[in-house]
Amino acid sequence: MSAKKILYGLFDDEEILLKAVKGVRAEGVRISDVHTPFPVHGLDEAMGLRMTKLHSAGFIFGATGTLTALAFITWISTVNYPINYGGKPYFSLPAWIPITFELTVLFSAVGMTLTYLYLNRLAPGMEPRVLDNRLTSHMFAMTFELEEDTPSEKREEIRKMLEAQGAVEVHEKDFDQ
Amino acid sequence: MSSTTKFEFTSKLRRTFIGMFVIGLIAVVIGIVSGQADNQKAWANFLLNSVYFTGLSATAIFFLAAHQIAFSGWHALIKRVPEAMMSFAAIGGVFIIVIALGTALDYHHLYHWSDNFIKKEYVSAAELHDYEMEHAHSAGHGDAEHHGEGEEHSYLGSGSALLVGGGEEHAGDHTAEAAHAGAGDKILNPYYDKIIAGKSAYLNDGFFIARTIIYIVLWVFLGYQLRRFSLKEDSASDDRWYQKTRTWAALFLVVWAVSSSMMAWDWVMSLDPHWFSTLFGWYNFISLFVGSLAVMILVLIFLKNQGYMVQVNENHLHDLGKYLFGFSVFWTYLWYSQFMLYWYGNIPEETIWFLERKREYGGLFGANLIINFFVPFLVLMRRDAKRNFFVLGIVASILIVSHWLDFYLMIIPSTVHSGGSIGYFEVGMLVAFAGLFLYMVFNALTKASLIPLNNPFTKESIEHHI
Repeated sequence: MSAKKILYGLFDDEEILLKAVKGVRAEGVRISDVHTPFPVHGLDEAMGLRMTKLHSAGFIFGATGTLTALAFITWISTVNYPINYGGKPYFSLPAWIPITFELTVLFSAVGMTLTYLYLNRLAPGMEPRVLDNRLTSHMFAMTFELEEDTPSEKREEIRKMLEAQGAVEVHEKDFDQ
Repeated sequence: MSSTTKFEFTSKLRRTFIGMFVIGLIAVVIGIVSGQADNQKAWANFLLNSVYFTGLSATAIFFLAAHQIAFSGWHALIKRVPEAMMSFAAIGGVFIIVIALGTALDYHHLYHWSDNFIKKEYVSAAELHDYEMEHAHSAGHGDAEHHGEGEEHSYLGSGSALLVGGGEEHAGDHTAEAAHAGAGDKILNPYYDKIIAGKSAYLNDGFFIARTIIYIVLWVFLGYQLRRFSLKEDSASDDRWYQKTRTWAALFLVVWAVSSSMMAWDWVMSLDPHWFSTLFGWYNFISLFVGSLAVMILVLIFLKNQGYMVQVNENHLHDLGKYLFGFSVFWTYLWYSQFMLYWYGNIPEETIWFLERKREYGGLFGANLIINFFVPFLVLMRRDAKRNFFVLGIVASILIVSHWLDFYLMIIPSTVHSGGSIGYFEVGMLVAFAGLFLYMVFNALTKASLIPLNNPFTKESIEHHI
């Protein structure tokens, strides 16, 4: 994982934050992310976030589960170890629907959970990037990812802008993983 | 509130619905006069549409009651639509009561169990003679059950012959016995149906009519109360009426929990009195509920296109779309649970119900599952689709017809057996009912402000955001 340099401004009120998000975007500066201790209504729209692609991942995981279940049972029941159950045909699709359904749900749920954990750096073995402990209780942060070669004037500019928009503190933090 | 909150039933719209009704009625009359639909078929279609449209109306009451009791906020803006939909329950209920009375008065032979002769194990020779004379020249399918359709039922195998009462076997006994017995003595009834006789404490004309009337009266009365308090709320200064509505909503839910299952047993499942399914009630209820939600969505989209309901936006439609998606999947779950257990058990008197449908209505049987499951499942899976009025409207339109088809497949094969069709007669009856239903709904919409004025949740509903 590449190192990351993050500049962030802390806000202590969601109304000010919401206004600041709109203000910063209006000035044409790209916001990397906003961290809040609770869901703030209208923040997604204000940030102009696209819909998450987690749903599409869920669909693909689910479809994988469906195919896995059907392929596996078909192979077992018709090729590998065919058994006559009460005179039913070896290829008894109606009887396999419940297990197919369950595997679809299982793959989809587990797959989405793991994807979610990975994307949020919460998966086992990953070090979460904690900006500030106060973000889980009462503070809000607006973050900007900095490049190695971002000139210091640009940083100053963002700092000034954040303060003007009502940020109570502005910090920079490096993550080396 | 601006004046646009009141719906204006334009004469053009009025004419459209009356036109639908008249055209449908003409098709029905032509069908009956030309003999395209015999007595049995005509009544079967009447039952089908009465149950379907009354059900759409009754599930609209359920929608209101369930949301009321759950302190739902988001539905406050749209609740006038289900309130308007419940206005058909009274008319549709009368239709069903007419059918129930017709069962006792022998206007039709939809309900085989209503034939009291087959419930008697021993009869006199004179009674038997009368019964046979009466049914010998009858062309009705219901009467032909034991005679003309012997071939058709032969795939039942020996299991059913024993259970149905085995016409031929007993007939042999009867001639032998009749030779011995005097005219006044009782002989074994060759038409005796042990299973129907066993169910006669529940399935008899009097109790059937009484139950039908009780369901209809309770639904209409409780629905009327919900509507009445909702209208009073508009001019009230506090939330007194809102609180009162909760009591009536709770009462309706209790009544509905019992009556929704029982109406399905009575009106639909007892068409095949030998067959039963324990989840039939929920299956019928959910099928109706999906249809009801689809109607709600279409009416809302129509109102929005006409410039009404400005505050109703894609968030409200999204919620209704989620219901449509979820309950379609639940419908599939029930359909499949019913099908698979009987398929697995493979017991002739249980599989007969599906066999009859697969043999004679194979295409529709498959289409029913595919349209009612895959269309909403695949199309409405995405969030964007549920928030898009056009896509949601198309899916809702399809589901209204395909759940009618679901009821068609439950009612028609049981009543007219292989004689079912979907022609101008069936479509005409559907269009006539739809015209009447829509006229009632839109007429009820004019009666009150489209937006509840003093509902404690109107503000929350306007702000609804997901």
